[in-house]
Amino acid sequence: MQSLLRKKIEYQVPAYSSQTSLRFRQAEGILSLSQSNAIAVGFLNVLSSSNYHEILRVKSYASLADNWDSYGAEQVSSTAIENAVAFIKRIDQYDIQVYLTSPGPNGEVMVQLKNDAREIEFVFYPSKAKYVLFNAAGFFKQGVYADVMLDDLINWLLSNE
Amino acid sequence: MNKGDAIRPDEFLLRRVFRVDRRFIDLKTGRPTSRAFAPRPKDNGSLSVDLKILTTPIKAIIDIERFRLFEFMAHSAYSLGLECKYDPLDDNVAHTLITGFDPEDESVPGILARISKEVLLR
Repeated sequence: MQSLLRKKIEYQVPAYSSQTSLRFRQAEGILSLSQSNAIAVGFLNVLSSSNYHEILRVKSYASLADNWDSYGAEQVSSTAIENAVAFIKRIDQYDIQVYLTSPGPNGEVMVQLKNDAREIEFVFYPSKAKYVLFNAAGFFKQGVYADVMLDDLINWLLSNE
Repeated sequence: MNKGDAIRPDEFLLRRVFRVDRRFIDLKTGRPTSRAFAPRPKDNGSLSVDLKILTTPIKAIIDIERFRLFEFMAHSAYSLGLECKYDPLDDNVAHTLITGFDPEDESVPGILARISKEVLLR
């Protein structure tokens, strides 16, 4: 299972491959957008453009005040935002693009991954995280999320069986 | 129908979904995200919906610039172990509550989001 992440690291090492140079081009573009985004500097050679922008989107949830959905939603937790951002950085190391993120009414942040009919929702609350799996038949499985599960969950997401 | 009465399984329920900045909408499919169907803290673990037969889409959506409208059958909620109870308000006779959410069960909002269909107003 851990080979998934290792493969990614080995893949990035060879310089000047077309994929690597593409990533550098994306990173240069990010850098030129705003020098105030320290994250762009810190992850210059790592984050894909798509995941980088999803992180910016998640960080923007910090500006949502109480009742931001006019239905009584709570302010999004800064801890939930931090955990979701850290998770997206980790996901990026698998060369997977986050499908979408969504703020939640209870202060949570949801990060969704998708591969055809398979979807995983990771829900980050201030003090815990959960995952929910969906496939073509609908709901499949759920549980409390811990980082050690990520390889298995990614394997499930990418599997066609 | 009286307050607290159970909704018939074959009735349709309407849920407004906040659309500003598309925070609750999947831009690629137009589908609502699971967070749009997660109960709010102020609602004590229940989800506010409208009973379709007692309202109209235009009335239920309130503000077409700020919301989109999705529907699903009460049967779907019952099949998830939830209850649907009529809960009229002074300004909304169609108001209904879905109760019985288990805070530890994260699957239900995602299931409701995936089975709901958008009610098109145009």
